[in-house]
Amino acid sequence: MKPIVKGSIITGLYLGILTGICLSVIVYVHEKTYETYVKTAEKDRLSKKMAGMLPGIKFDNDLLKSCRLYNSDTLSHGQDMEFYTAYRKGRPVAYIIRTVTMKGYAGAIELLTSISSKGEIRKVEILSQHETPGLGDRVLPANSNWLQEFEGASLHNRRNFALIKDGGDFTYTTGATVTPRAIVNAEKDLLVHFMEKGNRIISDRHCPEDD
Amino acid sequence: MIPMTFLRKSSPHMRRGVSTPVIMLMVLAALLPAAAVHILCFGWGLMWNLLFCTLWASLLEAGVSVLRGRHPLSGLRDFSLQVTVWLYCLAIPPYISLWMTILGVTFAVLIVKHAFGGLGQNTFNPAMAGFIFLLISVPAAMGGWVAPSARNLEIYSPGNAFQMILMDHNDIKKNLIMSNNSRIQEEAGTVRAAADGATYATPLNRFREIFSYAGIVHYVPDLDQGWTLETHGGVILSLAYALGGIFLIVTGFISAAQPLAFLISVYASGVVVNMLGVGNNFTTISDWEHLFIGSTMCGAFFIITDPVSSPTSLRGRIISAAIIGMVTVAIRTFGSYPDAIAFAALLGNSINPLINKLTRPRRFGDTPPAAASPAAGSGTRSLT
Amino acid sequence: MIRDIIELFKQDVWKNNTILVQILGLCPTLAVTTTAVTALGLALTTTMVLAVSNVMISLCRKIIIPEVRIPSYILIISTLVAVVEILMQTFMFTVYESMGIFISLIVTNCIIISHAEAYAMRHGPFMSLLDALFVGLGYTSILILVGSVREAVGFGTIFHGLNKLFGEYFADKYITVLPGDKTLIFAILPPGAFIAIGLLIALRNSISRS
Repeated sequence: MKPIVKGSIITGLYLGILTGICLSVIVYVHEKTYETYVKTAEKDRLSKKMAGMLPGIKFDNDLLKSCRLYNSDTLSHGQDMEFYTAYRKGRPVAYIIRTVTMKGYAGAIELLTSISSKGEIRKVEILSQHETPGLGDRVLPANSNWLQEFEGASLHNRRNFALIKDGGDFTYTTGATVTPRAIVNAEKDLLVHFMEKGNRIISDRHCPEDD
Repeated sequence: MIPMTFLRKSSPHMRRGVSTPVIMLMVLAALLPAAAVHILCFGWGLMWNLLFCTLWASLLEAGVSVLRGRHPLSGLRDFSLQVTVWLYCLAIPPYISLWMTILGVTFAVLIVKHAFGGLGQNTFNPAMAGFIFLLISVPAAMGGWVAPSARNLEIYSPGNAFQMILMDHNDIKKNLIMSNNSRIQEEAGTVRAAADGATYATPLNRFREIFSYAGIVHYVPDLDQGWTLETHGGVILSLAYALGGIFLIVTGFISAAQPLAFLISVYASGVVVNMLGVGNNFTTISDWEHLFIGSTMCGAFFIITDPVSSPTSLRGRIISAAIIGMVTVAIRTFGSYPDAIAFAALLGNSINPLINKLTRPRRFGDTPPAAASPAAGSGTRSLT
Repeated sequence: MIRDIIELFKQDVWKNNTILVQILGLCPTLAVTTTAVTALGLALTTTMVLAVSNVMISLCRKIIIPEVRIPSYILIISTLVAVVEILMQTFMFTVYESMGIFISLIVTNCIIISHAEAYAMRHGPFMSLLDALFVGLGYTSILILVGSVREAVGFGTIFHGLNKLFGEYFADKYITVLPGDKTLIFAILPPGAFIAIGLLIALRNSISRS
């Protein structure tokens, strides 16, 4: 055999073996950690987050298993979005709903809202946004407590579900009204929708299982 | 005997025989109408900003000159610094805290102009870069425009204006809202664009605000209401810039092609965007409004025509102007900041080297690459 | 021996500082230095990967076939990074979350591959480890410096959120430099990173020249 061919074969074999060793190390570490830690930790985090959305509400079901999909023009802009239902003794006590509004300063703002079955907002979180840094993004929990103004708000106990500027009582930062207004209006739409459906949301479309 | 006639033409890279100070003084003269309208609309704040920025920028310029081992006045003789300061002061809101104004001009002179090598070397337009520095650093303050009104000359008299810019940002904000609010209550109904109560925003910001409130609005009000500063302040300011620009074109200091290419590009992009109906939430700026809101006119005649930060050849300048126009409309439609011209101009500046390379004029006696013989072609290729 | 180590220290930390002089590995440096803490997190992770990769390559330097040494480095380094990423995701999730994609991008950090080629292939495992630690020290200090400057100007604090890295004891161990309404958001946006690093490079040049 020519030496050059022999050299190539040896090099090829060497690289092949090295790749094999490296891959098996990664696969080993992944196998060891994924099932036991990562997946359960992820579920834990998600269900903790969901439970954190329902301060002061007692429920007895697995929130993640209650996930359903809905589709609405006003609330989800035609996309399929999830909502979760909290039950107590078989009766729904609260909902956690993902919605989106397109009226932010720079497009879509995704929100996660929990509503008790009486139609009261328990908590609002912002899942994604592209608002102007330092201006629109002041509504984020990292920058202010603004989202807390929603806790306990409902169509009944607010004379006018709007910013102070628009005749309601939600505050805003001067110069940055677009973002707060978009969020307030989105929450109002959600509450109106919720009341129209008789304080319950029903959908038989299960969320796709991700494994 | 046939008389010998020679075609007399200057060599290709010779520009007009005017010196930089003359060009710059003409630009300053052309900015006068806009500055006057600015003061008429918004009060005397501009005057103080110009004064303080000129003083401070001159100090900085002199300091940098000394650091570089030149005569302290060497950077001040060509008036280019004054043009930078004027454009900068016209771009920022007239009433923001003085420390912000000073910080922006410091950034423009030290980092954008001198860190890149001084006049003639700076890649980016210093005035626009300074403006953007403030816009993204203190966005809340940079939204604080006073609504244009004939009464602003009294309300923001030189004394009051001086007090305003010395205040803390939050106090300035309160003052602006108070004056804007009272005016809007008095004139309720006359200005459609002011439907939104406290207007503490630039016209472009107001678009999105009113849209978020009520849906579609138009900024340029009905013409039959008559032209006043209150209703047409922004448009009149735009026309003042255009007037200055036309003066520069007529006197031959800038070519008409560059602003025209820019305006056509803005208009055409506006038509396309409105036809497609795309955008974040507001496609409510009509095609014509794109030309008269914000700083379109100022950009067309004074910003993209800056000789240092635009391409060398006329063809390159037209291409760059058209690109900046498209980017302007794209940012207005999709971006998260209201003012698009400055961002678009800087983006245009940054692709100048590329445009310069693509539109390099043919050297005398050189054959175009396609016609060149294969041998010569391969020869040059191996060199690069 | 001792003299060699001192010389290596000087080279790695100051004379050939990876960021200020060699201008290597800028992408993560620009992207994660928005606060001092994220900068510190990435710098420590990179140092760790660098140390392990230097030692491993130095140990294997006799059996690595010279013609294909670069692919071998890449295989070894990417394996390391993948393992580190999985381990961090498992045991240090908050840190993992705050650094996001930049952990996997450590693979592309030229500092690691350049030191594999220039140092670990030619020296024993002990010196290679020292080299990695010194380089890491130079890298970490610059990253913390850039991160602190940007955080101070942009947020008005330094080392805010140290608890993400070192536990709840550090939750309020940060320094306030500027009041909240005097901060410049510019500093924490991408251009702020370029300007901060540019100014630091200029500063280093002027110090070493004088």
